[in-house]
Amino acid sequence: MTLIDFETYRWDAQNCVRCSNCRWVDFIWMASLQFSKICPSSARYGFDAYAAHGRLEIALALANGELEWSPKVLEEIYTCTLCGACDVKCLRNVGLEPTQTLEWMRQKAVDDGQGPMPEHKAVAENIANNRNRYGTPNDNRGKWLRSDARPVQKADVLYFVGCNSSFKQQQIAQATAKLLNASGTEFMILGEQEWCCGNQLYNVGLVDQAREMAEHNLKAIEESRAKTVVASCAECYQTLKVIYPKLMGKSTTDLGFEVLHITEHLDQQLQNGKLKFTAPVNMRVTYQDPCRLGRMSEPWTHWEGKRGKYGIFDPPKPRRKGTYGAYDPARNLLNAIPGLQVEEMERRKDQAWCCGASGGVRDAFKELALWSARERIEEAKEVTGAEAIISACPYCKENFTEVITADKERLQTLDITEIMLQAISPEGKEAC
Amino acid sequence: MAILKEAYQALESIVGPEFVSDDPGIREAYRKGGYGKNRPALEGQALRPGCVILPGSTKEVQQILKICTQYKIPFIPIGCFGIATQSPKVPDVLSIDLKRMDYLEIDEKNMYAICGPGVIYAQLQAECLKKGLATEGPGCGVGATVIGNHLNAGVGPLEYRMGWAQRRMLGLEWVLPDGDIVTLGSTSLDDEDYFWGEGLGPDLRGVLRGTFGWQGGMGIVTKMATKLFPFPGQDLERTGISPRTGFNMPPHLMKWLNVFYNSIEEAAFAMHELSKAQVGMALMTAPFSWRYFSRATSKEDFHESWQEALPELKETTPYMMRIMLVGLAGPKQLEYEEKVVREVIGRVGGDVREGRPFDESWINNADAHRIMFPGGMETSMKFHFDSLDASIELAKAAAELKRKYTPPLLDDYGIPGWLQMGDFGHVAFCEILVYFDPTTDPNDCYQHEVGFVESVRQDLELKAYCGLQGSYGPEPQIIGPAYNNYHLKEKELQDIFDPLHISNPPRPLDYAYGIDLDIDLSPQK
Ligand SMILES: Cc1cc2nc3c(=O)[nH]c(=O)nc-3n(C[C@H](O)[C@H](O)[C@H](O)COP(=O)(O)OP(=O)(O)OC[C@H]3O[C@@H](n4cnc5c(N)ncnc54)[C@H](O)[C@@H]3O)c2cc1C
Ligand code: SF4
Ligand code: SF4
Repeated sequence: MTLIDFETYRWDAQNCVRCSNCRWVDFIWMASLQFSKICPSSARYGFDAYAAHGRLEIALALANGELEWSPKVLEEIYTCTLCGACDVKCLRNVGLEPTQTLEWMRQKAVDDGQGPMPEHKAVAENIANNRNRYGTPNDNRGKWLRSDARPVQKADVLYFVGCNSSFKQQQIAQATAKLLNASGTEFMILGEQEWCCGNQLYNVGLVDQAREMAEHNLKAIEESRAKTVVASCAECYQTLKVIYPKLMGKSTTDLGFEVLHITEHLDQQLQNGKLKFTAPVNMRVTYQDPCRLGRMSEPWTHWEGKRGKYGIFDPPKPRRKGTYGAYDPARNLLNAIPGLQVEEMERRKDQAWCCGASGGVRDAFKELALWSARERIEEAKEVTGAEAIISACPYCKENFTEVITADKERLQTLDITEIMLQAISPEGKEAC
Repeated sequence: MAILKEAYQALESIVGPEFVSDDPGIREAYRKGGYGKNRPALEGQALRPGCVILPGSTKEVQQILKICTQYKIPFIPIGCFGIATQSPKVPDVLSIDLKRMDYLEIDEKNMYAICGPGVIYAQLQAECLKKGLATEGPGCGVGATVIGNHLNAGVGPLEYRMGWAQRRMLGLEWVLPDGDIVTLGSTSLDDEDYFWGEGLGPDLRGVLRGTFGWQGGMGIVTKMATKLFPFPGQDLERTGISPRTGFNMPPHLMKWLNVFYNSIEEAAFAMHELSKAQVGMALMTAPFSWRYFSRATSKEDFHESWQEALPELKETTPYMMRIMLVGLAGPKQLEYEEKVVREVIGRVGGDVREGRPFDESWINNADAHRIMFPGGMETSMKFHFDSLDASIELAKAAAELKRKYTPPLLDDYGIPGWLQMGDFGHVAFCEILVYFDPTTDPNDCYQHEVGFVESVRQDLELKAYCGLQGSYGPEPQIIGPAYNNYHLKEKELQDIFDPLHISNPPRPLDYAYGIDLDIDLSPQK
């Protein structure tokens, strides 16, 4: 059975006025024709079936039995990065939540034995067999650890490393650990008890398998008695903070622990004087807001009820509009680094352009993922003249890296932890 | 798909396989939407198109229309699909989505922009503001395409100063339903020159547009120049996170003045006197419900606070006139205009209060669709350009009529719409809004349609210029005989320009759903 009940959101599909706001950057913030779009799949393919409003029509037709599944319909559904921009835009004015329906369609595809895409099934199989998305033995999960990163056995803070930084871009995990040490934060890790967070499983509609991950990780966190879980990956962060409560039928506040992204935690340490950047990093950079750290990261509030005339929720349902995403911590940190010149792109914060990697798109529609990253790199170069694009999610970095390498770009890409590591004072570095 | 395979292949050879599709999912996405969605009179059965195509150039549009002519394929031009008149009413249409044609060029010195049919107002405004210029975004929001909107409506707050969209049209390039190209104004003399709208000899812009246009029934405009106006855009500061984003207005150059009245007549008289003084960038009397829409955090929040406020508002019934002042030539102009406003208000009466120097609506109409916030769908019981006196009468009559159907229609009291000056006082515009939700209450739709027909009859009694009703959907045959049988002339023109009737049939003269004939007004299932 699907986790999302389409009947709750049928009203949205029926009452989407097709204003197309969900395809565009907030009109106030729109600063040019060139960087005016916000929905990657709509911008890439053009047909409205690849925009939120078209997908709502498709959902309605599927629910009404007026449209049959086909490979093309699956493509229309799965080429969405679930970046959440359409929710932010629609909730601003019309008040609908299209991403609930976008998620429902994927869950229905799985339920009907049609989805997810073959590439997603391969990742799901890796996770089922090895508890990580890459299919390597999970007891290698702690192998990123170097002697200069010092977790402890018991601490209030648990660092949830994530598959990508555990197995692929280990330098991000290493930088995170050093920064935690340098900011005086004692932390522990789960080692092989950490399983894939399940972000992609949930996003492609594999709800049961995602719930299995949630149950295991939540139990492991509970047993660790951590008060705070820190993630350096935006996907893990959103999964722990938003998707787990959603899967478990509760609210973020009922999790029993606090979820922080590394940028939020280090910003706190910066504000209270425990983290200092003293080594200049003379570089011009721009910052990519990861969707899952920004507009999609607002806490989840469990809601049960019904919907009446004018689409009114009874009892009132809190909407997640992207207002309270974690936009400022990363900026505070970058701006505190001596010598670093931070320039903003036109599409920023809640209006950021998705790098293209998420929602299972990088696995199943690599061409779209890279196209989206290329668009962003173009914006970074043209608008800011940056030497580097900094992100706070390993998947953004991975996607940017592939384009930068293929196109032989002079622009670099770095994870925010990597640039912060360069800025730690010599004493700070010694302390690591 | 019933579009012939041969025709499909010909279309594919024009745009390439990436930009044409007969996939059911893609077609489904072009069935419904826009102003009037869920109104059977406008969208009919909302059929799936037979096929969807995304041309990238004028040449491709020409070739596509030639194929349509050859195979007698009905086609629908699509900007952003902001109006339900793009829902296919006949089977096997070709929906021509023009979004790839987002060509934009601004002539800063001569203050005009040449737009392709895929360019939306927000894009144009973003580029204009950088250059100290501006366009006028329509009330439906700046997500509308510039051409789509210029061709059919084009009403927005800055119209007071910048004029109605059809009066901003300059040179243009137009592909007739048979694929031939017509260029108007100076463009007919020189393909590159869009400066002069009139040209020599008869001016076909009236044929192309008229009051509310053809709703896609006259081929496809592939390029259009529109007038731009000076505006201190570089001095605006973008601010905020969604949903609270807006421009901080430079206090030395821009100002809001809100003036409160106890009656709509007093407010209207003040608007009249102010436009005679030729001051202000925008001038409008807006309903109080708008304040509640724009401040509400959710539908639930709106309904709760609105219900709470209604009894007192109904008692006091204040009307608020808003004036935006802009010092185009500098702070001294702002000072001067403010003095004039205060002098006029001092003379005609009204309680003036200065507004916060912040704008989320009028310069870039970013929040226009908030009017959808409280209800399901919104349409207009009145949408009229008329004299100010006639507009007041119409507004009051429509408000009375609307109360007859409220509930089930949303109770938004007073004059539930806006009244504004256009063309620096030469015309008034009045729109009375109706919120209905047939998706949860089929009776809404019925009441709405009945109210609509009564409203048309009311227009005839009051001898009002029933612009919208005369151009969209089913009313022309009621209104036509009272207005020189304009609809028959329209039909004659259509026969000349589109003899095969393939350009968005059966619009704009949609007799099949005639209200006085046999329109089915029974509650929707
Ligand atoms: C809630 C709401 C409020 C609204 N309020 C206003 C308002 O205040 N002011 C206002 O002006 N409008 C208003 N509208 C109406 C409408 O959205 C706009 O007028 C706008 O023009 C739609 O723009 P579009 O780009 O979506 O055009 P479309 O809807 O795509 O096109 C409009 C018509 O023109 C045809 N067309 C489009 N492009 C071309 C072309 N290049 N060549 C030939 N024909 C073409 C189409 O076939 C269609 O019939 C409102 C709509 C809604 C939903
Ligand atoms: S913003 Fe909302 S109402 Fe507008 S087209 Fe998108 S989903 Fe529909
Ligand atoms: S979630 Fe992102 S990619 Fe998907 S429809 Fe919405 S804006 Fe487009």
